[in-house]
Amino acid sequence: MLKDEFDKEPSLQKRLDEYEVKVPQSLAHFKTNRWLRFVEYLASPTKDPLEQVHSSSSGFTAMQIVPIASAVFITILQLLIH
Amino acid sequence: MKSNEEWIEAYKKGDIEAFNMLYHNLYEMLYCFLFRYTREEQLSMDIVHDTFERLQKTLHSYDVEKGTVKSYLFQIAYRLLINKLNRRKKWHSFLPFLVPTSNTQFSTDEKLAVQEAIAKLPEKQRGVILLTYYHDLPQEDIAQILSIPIGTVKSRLYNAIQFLKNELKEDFHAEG
Repeated sequence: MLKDEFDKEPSLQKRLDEYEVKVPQSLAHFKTNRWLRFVEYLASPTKDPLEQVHSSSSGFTAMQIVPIASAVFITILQLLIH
Repeated sequence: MKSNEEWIEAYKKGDIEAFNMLYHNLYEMLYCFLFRYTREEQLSMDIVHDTFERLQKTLHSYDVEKGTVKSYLFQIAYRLLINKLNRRKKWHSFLPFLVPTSNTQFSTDEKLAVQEAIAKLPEKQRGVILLTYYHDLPQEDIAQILSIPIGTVKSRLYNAIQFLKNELKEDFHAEG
């Protein structure tokens, strides 16, 4: 058997044996409901797209100021057009 | 007790309970393989379900003489996994924030080291080592699952063992 290759590597075997996987309980029953699975996908954690911006204090301040500045800018623009 | 091959034959004849038995016998093993490969709980769960859905659809193309049910399911799961990962890579280049973060299950430093080492393995070698060590599959089955020649299985296994030994070198020294 191919696994016999590991007999020469007892330290590696020991390390690999430590890698146990906990199987989720919810998997115990086969789900044919694709909608439910889609909802679970939507609820799964995702990366924050603005993480880099709000992780620094200047970025966080900019996040607060930019909407206000944009609103003022758009208002001025509208006033100038009319 | 019936074998998986007997259950699938029963399912082919319309026995719904036989499908449940197959699922019960094999879902854990598939999940463990997928989780060790990706370290993503949700993705692994989805692929386990997709694999059994695919089995339902392609049931009649399964031939017991070509291999075991276990190998057949691994083959389906691996192909689904590679397709999903390739699709994700494309999406990731357009919309990086849509890719879910991995839900890792680290508990101790030792486990962390081996999980990290396996994750660092090149994908082509990772599949070989997982199927060999954790699922004890014969060389022919692994070659079929990964769609590679038999000789390549052995060379990839050798390279994977060397890579892991090198990655976990400090752990071995600390132990000794």
